[in-house]
Amino acid sequence: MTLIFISLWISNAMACAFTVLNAICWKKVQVSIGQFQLNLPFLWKLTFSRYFIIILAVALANVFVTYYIQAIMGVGKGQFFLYFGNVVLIIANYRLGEKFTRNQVIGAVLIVVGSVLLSS
Amino acid sequence: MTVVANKHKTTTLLWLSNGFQCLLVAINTLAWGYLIRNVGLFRFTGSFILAMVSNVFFWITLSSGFASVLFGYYAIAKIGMAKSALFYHTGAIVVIIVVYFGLNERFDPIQILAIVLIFAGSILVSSRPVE
Repeated sequence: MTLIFISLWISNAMACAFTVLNAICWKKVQVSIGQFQLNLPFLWKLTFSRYFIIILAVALANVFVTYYIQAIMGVGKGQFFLYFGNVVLIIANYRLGEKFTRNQVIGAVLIVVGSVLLSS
Repeated sequence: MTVVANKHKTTTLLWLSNGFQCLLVAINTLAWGYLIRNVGLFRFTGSFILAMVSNVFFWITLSSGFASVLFGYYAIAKIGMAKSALFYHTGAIVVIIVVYFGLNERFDPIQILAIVLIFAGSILVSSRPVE
């Protein structure tokens, strides 16, 4: 039971790292090729952006971690457990200079409590 | 008159986009469930990875997940971060409905409480300060 708990949290930490890396790469893509548009020239530029290759690699790695979590917990609980990435994202944004709001702090605490309950 | 027409257009676009995003989430969730049922528990072996990538649900999971991310970015560009957060939250409700009716997953009271806390938390986390 404890081993599963630890392995779930290690997997979740990896998923969080992938989420942050993914968000950073999408921001870099936006800076290099502009705001997202649903047309062929944009999708063509997107495909050949070097950050997009990283996004694909990270997404593929994330698939394995997500699979592991969902196979252990079930799809529904696993997907909610992965919401923990939101907490890491706002901490990452804070490190990049964005300020927390009081609501965000309360929300982060709720997610942490919910994730611990869900994984135990 | 033009302002009202534009508002209606934006609202229609918002709900059409939301419906499409919910459909992608539902397909993604179901595909995950069937993939895990077909391939079994995760193992660090070549045969497992081969079984996983050769399963049709793996590709449905990848493509629906990726389409959902692309569409999410499109929605942010079109209607802004605040309104597109709606997609994220309705997607969570779709997940619950799909796993309950489509995959027959059940939750005990503690797990329901945990999901409610995470759902409420994610709404608060995605809230932005009023400028």
